[in-house]
Amino acid sequence: MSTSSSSSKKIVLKSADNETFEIDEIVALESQAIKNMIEDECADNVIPLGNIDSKTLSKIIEYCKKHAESPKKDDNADIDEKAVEDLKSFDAEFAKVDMPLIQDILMAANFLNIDNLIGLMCRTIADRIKGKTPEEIRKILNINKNDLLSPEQEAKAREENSWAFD
Amino acid sequence: MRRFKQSRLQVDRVSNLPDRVIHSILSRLESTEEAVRTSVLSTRWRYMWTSIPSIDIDCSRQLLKPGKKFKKNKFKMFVYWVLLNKTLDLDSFRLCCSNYYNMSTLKRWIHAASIRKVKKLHLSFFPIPGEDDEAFELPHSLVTCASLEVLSLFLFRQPLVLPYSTKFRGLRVLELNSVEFYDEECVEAFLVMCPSLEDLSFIDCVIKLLFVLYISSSKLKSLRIDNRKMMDHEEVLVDGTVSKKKYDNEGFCNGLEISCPALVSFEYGGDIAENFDFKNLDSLRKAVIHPNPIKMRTYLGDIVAKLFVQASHLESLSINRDFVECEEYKMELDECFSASLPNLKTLELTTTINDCNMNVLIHILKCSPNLESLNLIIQEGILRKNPGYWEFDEAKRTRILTRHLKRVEFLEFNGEKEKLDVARILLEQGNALGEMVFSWRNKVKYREKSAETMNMVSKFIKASSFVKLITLLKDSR
Repeated sequence: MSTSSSSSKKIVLKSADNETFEIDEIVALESQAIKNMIEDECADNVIPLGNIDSKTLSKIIEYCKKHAESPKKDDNADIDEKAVEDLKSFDAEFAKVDMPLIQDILMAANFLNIDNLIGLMCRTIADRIKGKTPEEIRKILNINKNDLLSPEQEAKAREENSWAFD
Repeated sequence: MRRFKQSRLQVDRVSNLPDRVIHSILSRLESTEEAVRTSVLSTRWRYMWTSIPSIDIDCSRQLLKPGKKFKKNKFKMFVYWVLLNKTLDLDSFRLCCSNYYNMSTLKRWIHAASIRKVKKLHLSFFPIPGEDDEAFELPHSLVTCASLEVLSLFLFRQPLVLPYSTKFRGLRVLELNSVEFYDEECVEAFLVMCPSLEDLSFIDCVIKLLFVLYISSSKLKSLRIDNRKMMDHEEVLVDGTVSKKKYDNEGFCNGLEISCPALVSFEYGGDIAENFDFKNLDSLRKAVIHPNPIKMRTYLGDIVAKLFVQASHLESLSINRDFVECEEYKMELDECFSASLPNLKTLELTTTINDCNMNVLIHILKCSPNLESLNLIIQEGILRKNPGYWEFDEAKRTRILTRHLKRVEFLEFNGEKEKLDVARILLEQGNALGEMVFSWRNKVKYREKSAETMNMVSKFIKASSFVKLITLLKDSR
């Protein structure tokens, strides 16, 4: 899967499963990490992203493209309200994926340092665990079973914070 | 760089993320209670909540749960516990505790927050009747808290008293909601205490003894006075239940003088003062004036004239029906709108349609030669049925009105014929019209009639080639 348009400068990203994605530089600049690499001139032809699989990476590129196309807030004080609305509904649609993929996107966004996307994924996770019991949240987030509190520790935590558990 | 295997389902990735990402998730939860509950998820999450820089505790959440009795002491211990356990400076602290605690408890909480260098503080409470002095005196530790930038108080219409000879050095934003002042000097003294204030709101506040309130502040950029909801007020009773209470309409100001050289935005909703005096409004760019239906409409013309003369740099103005309701100042129309608003770019008018209102609108348009956009929001209300309720017989009038008209929204639309007539005329004449919105409130009617109505409207003749017709269901209110 690759994208191209002739005029602007291209960047090639390579996923953990060796798929390559050619994207416009402007799209890649949505990632602060890639931006730094380009500015430090240590990104030559291909940027290998050994911890991001192709499924996740293509989602992230979809996001960056949309956001790179939209007018930036700091450009203009009175930005087009419709553009803001449009971006909002894009974000809402974008976040309608399963939890494992959300977590993958969040990890990758954190690695690539894409602030807006980190925010969007955190908001999505928060929305999905809102009002849930700890047991339900553990299931939703697939919390590591080896990392659970001992029954004594959990009892203590519940007692310390008993107001919150009532 | 950490590599991981492709077994999607088995890995707990969130827990592997850096703290700041987990904090970002926690700070998007609804309440501090909810964040605290994550402490039992796993060892990784055990103390995460202690380093989110905000606290949001509201006793009414507990009160709303059916069958729960409010445990006063437990709540108190929890607030202390959260404040003590916070490891970082507090960005914001929101506490709503109704009337369960006395002043000394509140003072201790506020003190603890000020030690945590709180930046934004929102308090909603009133002290236990009988146990304290009736008035709430701002604690000294709060006023002297150097980190405090934003203060919002909701006092259930209790009186507020200020400590002497201290100043809020860093306070930029002050919102007083449902606060009672003894007289205007209290309010003026409060403003003197806040030399850095940029943003000031009085919402449903009352001044008991009032002649003329003088608001003078050198740095103030935004002033909002809104008493529209005052007449119908909710009050939490001693037993924690909420009752609807009607207040006498004492109002916030009989007279209001504003002298704020840096003021950019002025919003006024509610009863209009008898005397308005504006000085130094050269920097004013945005005004929203939505008076209540008022007894003293006679003063309105005078107020409008004064405001327009002073606010010659105004760029955006929003007014409502009661501002343009002109029966009483019909005679002086030309006088009222003699000033020019050369910079006015956007005008928003929420109104019903009748001759008088349209007359005033035309007058305002006449004194705004550079207007770019007129938004007309047409209320449900009564469309005057008398013939010619929308007089477009004068070609000049039509031209003035429709040249600028960018957007029209019909509120509470129900497919009424009168409104459709208005829509048809506006579409025929409005060559700058970009958007016409039909907001329905009744779900059933919306489903039944919306498509048919839109079909009809789409067949109207349109002067503008780019006008968008929108139909939607607005459930609010």
